[in-house]
Amino acid sequence: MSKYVKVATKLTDIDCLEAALKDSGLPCERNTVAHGWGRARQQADLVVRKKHLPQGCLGDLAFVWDERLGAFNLVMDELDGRRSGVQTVLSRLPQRHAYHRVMKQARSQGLAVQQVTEQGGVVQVVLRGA
Amino acid sequence: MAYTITVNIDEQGNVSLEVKGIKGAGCEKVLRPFEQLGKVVEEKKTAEYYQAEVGITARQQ
Repeated sequence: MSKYVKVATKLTDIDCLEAALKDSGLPCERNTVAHGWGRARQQADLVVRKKHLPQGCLGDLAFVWDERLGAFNLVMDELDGRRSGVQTVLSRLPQRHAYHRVMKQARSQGLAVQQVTEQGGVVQVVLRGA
Repeated sequence: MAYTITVNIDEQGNVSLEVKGIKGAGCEKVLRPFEQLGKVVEEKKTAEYYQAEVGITARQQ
């Protein structure tokens, strides 16, 4: 090893966020209105419709760009956010989003993917360059 | 020169990268695009980093 770097990531890339949600079997719609419980409405960058979420959810799951944060913010009904099925999906998002960002960067740098493995909750990707 | 980058991604989305096969500061160039994925929170250089990249030096007359 000649150098080691650790980078903390945030949900910043809409393509990778969409890919991460698809990994959990959730199709998305872009730049549309999210529907919450009752008459609640919110313009959002990325929306997963209620029908795709675990049974009993009251509204859509939405992501809205937060300029101050420099990342996407999750917007959803508070009760839905406490459902275990939703929490499982949300807990996987940071890792899956980061994985797709790494792959996107690897492609743009012309690096070959030699191996992808997962152990103990950590995804390992080995890239090869020339 | 062939090199590998081993990337470990934890559940919080922290990305750890290790370069092997590049001596000297060349690994900086290889890692820089990945450092832009977020905020660098840890950085280490090892013995291989400080080895010479190329062992040929041209002497001007």
